[in-house]
Amino acid sequence: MNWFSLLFGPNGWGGLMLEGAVVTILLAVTSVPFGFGSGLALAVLKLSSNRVVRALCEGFTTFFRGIPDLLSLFIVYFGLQALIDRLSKLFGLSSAIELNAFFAGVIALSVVVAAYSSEVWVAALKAVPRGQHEAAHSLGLDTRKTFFLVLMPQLIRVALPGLGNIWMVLLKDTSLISTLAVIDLLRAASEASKNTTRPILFYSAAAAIYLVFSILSGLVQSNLERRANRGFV
Amino acid sequence: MKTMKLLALLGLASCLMASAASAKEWKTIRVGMDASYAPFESVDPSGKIVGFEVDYANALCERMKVTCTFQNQDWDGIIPALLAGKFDAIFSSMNITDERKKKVMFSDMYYATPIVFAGQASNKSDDVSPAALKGKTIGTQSSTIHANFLEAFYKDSNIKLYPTQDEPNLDLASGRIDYVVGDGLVEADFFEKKGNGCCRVISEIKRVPGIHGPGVGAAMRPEDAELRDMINKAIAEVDADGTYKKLEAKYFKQDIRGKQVTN
Repeated sequence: MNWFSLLFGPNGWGGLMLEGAVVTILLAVTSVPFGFGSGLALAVLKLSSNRVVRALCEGFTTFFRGIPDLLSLFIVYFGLQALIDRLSKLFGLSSAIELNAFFAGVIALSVVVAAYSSEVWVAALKAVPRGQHEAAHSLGLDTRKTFFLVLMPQLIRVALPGLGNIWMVLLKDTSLISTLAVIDLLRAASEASKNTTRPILFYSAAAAIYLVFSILSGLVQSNLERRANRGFV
Repeated sequence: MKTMKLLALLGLASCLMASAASAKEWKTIRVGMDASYAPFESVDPSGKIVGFEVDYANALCERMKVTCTFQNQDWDGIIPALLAGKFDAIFSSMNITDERKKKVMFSDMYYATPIVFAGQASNKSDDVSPAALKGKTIGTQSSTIHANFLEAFYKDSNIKLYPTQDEPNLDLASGRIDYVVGDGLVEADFFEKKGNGCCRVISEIKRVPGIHGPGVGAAMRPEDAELRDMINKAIAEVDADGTYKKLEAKYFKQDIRGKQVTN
């Protein structure tokens, strides 16, 4: 069979690869708001005056930046499931809640992204001059408004390049979920190459799709950066 | 990384062993399999798991009046996932060995196929004794009877272990390794797909009792004795009414049932 019918023929693997690509994107897009959001929260807590809070947050970051991302995924998939089982037994629930692989992937990737992005957010928070807080307060803005209206736009500007980098890494880290037998882009390519014994064709196709995603992300990122930088010279 | 992965899984598995499920009524049986073992189980272009063991498990479930659902799970983590309750039974060409019996409980044996040495087609020598293969590279899937067999008898050869059986097969075809040990039918299926007469089955390996065990069975959590009894009863029924023969003929040209072994 030639490469075209292997990909697009009636029994071709192109469909499965596209479905896999959708899973990859969904996984990344679902994880990123949780990851960046909790990363920011983590960063704010890291700058808190309470020593215990600071130590806990630093510990979290050190742990999840220090272990392989694959291991984080296993901790969530196997470890968290075990915890859920224990708890549901404790409360006498008859049917246990099952953590599916996609959801485990979202949690694990969010945790990893939170750990990495918190450092980016810390740097951004430190880059906003103290005078900005004071000016906002003197205008009568409360803490919430100060944060979202005054600090946030300036934070974003500094944080975007770093966050963009983390997004790119996340996009590729989604492939770790293939070890849980979820058919993402990489897994689809691997199933196809195993079944057809043509690994080069299918892995190249997967590489091309990942590249397209990365290039598109790069374009979106430079647009966002331009937008965030408007008003700054 | 792989060692770490295994250690993590084993560590977690041992914590999970402690949590036991109470007796329950079976309406659905979730089956876990590593779908990279055609023609026994593999993924088709629509993403569905297909193969002999899927049809066979479905036939058993029909007798047990339960619904079977199938989940794909990598071989490395298949026992930990069973123990963690991700599914209820493994139907994944898992040979019944004493080592595995320490962790899981097996059904009766439901198939036994020849185990073989395979090599490149250009390799004309039929001698696969440990002496002849000294210094040669032999590939197979890790955490399998084949890996245990090679580690026990082929210490002077270079043993390469892979996460699935497809990988050593591809490496054999591309000339990266000299020999593969695996299931005779799986090897034959791969060589047929690969075409061009890349490789050949060299000779059959006689099963070593302590290593290979008698054949393949379904694996379950040790506390699910009720499920095992249901499955064993269904295995006998599917044998008796000729369904087994029909399914076997759909996939294979030879008899794979082997002689009955009760667990």
